[in-house]
Amino acid sequence: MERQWVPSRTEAFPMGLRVLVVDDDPTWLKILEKMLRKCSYEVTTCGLARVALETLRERKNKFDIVVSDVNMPDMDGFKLLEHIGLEMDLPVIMMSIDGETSRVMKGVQHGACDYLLKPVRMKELRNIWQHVYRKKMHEVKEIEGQEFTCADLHLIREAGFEERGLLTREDKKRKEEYNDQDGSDQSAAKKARVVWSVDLHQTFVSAVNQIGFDKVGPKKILDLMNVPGLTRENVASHLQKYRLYLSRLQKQNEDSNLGNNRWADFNPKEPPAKPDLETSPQVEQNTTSKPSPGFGFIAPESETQPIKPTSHFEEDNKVKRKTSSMPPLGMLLSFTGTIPSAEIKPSEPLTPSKHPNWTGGLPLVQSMQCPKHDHKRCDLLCDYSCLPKPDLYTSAPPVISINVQNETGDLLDVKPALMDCIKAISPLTCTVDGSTSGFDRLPSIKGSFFEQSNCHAEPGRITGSDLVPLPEDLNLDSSLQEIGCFENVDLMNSIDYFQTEVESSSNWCDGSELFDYPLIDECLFA
Amino acid sequence: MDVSMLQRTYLELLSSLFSEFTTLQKLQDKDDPKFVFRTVSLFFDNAERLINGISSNLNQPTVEFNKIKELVHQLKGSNKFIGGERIEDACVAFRSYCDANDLQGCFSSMQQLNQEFLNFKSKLDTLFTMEQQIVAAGGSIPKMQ
Repeated sequence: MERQWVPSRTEAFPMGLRVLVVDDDPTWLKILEKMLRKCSYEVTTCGLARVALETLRERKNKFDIVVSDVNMPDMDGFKLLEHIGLEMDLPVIMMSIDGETSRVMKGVQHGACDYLLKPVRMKELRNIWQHVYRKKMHEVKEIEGQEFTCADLHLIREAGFEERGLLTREDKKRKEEYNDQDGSDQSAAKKARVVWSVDLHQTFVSAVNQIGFDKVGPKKILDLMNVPGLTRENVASHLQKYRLYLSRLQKQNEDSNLGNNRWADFNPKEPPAKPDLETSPQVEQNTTSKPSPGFGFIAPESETQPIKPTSHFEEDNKVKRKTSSMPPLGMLLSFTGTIPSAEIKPSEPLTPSKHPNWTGGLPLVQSMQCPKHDHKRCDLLCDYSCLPKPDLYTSAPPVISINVQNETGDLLDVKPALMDCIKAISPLTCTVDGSTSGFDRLPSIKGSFFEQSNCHAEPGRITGSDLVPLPEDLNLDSSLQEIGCFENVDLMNSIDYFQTEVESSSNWCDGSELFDYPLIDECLFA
Repeated sequence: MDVSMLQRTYLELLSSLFSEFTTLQKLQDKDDPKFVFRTVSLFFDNAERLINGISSNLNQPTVEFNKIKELVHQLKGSNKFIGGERIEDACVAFRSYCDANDLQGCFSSMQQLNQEFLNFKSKLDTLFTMEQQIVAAGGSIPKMQ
């Protein structure tokens, strides 16, 4: 009897393994995508951790494994790791340039299946399927509630060997045979693997809170949750993870309270009027508008503040999460008292239409709003699940009828944010309208490559940025990020794109045109 | 120009880059002949943004070395694959100046970083041109082993 202990794509396994790659560095994203494709994996890329989480939530069963960078501006890679572990229970592989033991340790503690060092080699990526396989096997064990047998251990060991390829058919058959032996437990074993969805986790957390964190036990939670088909084992393992997570948070919180002065650091430095928190911390192309002799000129208006808002957001989250595990309401209120300035700002602009930087804004907003709502929901998932979901990811008209009013001569003078906005919204048009004129004018690298890199996404795939109304001085960094985000498809699309590449390349060497590329032929790199 | 001469020079130039650069080249194939070019463009784009960020941070009335350090770290990470070894060294030096809160050192590092980037870029430009020339002369682009 066939048992579904892996998804039905077993035959194709590990080819077609569905990987989600999260990395803020676009260069790396591209390289990793390419490498993973070469491994015959199905790749989705993402430049923002938050967006990655959203994607995972929306397309719950559509991914097998997540590969994520550790250093990301909008969310710590370890946090993402924990979220994924708790909510989706997918294997996560961390990557970093930094191979320090303490970091690696942290990764493992947070539940990473593996920790790769950049530059990542193809070999290492090729083997990531083993983590998926191993996890599936563990889950089968969990559901059946059985001890490991020698056969299992042997199989797991085999799956763990680095340089080995697929398990042989023999091994697989052996596994199936073993599974078939459990005649009596057929009904239990046929249960599908439990996916801890956001809702399910919410139910779980509210049950925990209701019982009281100290008195909690899997049986009690199970009874309270009253979810058909959920077993005690499922709850038990989830509880364990949850406990670990909370204890880690508490430890972090204690650290921060003890005197890292993070609160002090971030609050005063926030420029009051700037909607920094609402925007993506990653200021992507929001650089100078002045012509430059090359790199290194000053960006007059924009400040790249990659770290600050992140941490601030983290702090908020930490507060909320911590309080959710204790008698909440009083604590919540007291905590919100300590972050007055942060509270006010983000909660003002709530409507997505006004402030399109929902990726940056909404989670923060939500966390601020928690006290007003049912506090039981103000746990770690409150940030994401309670969000009014704007229709960001449905396809909006890809090209908005924005008149690029600026004369070519004014391209340089236009505020960077505005320019970003224009370019962000009309990716295709930007190749035609903006770029051709822009290239003649811009001696620097800025405009030319900017347009290239932002024209990566196909028009239909643009996320929320489509909905952006033009006029305000918006910081569209997150939307820019998102453009590069869902690159599910091969990027080799528009001829226009290459044309602009060609023209831009001559601008590489600021003014002193060393090389003239009349047309970079396809054959050039063949 | 003699094709084999071109090819030899090309290989020499290539070998002066990080070995990872050739890995990058290996990722390129017939289906995606512009992969290297696009990735490199992306890299320079990103690098420019980071450098601008560093620059603006350096010119603040109160310099936040941690921020700069973070940006330099990102730059270094981005560079890992594309392969400017001298850029990497410049980044490392920069970081130590940041750690020491040495503003002067940072500024000079900044200069150096700029310079290294320009050098690197022109190197890559040469590389890409040579590829074009080789192909135009009827040869095939040699690959590093």
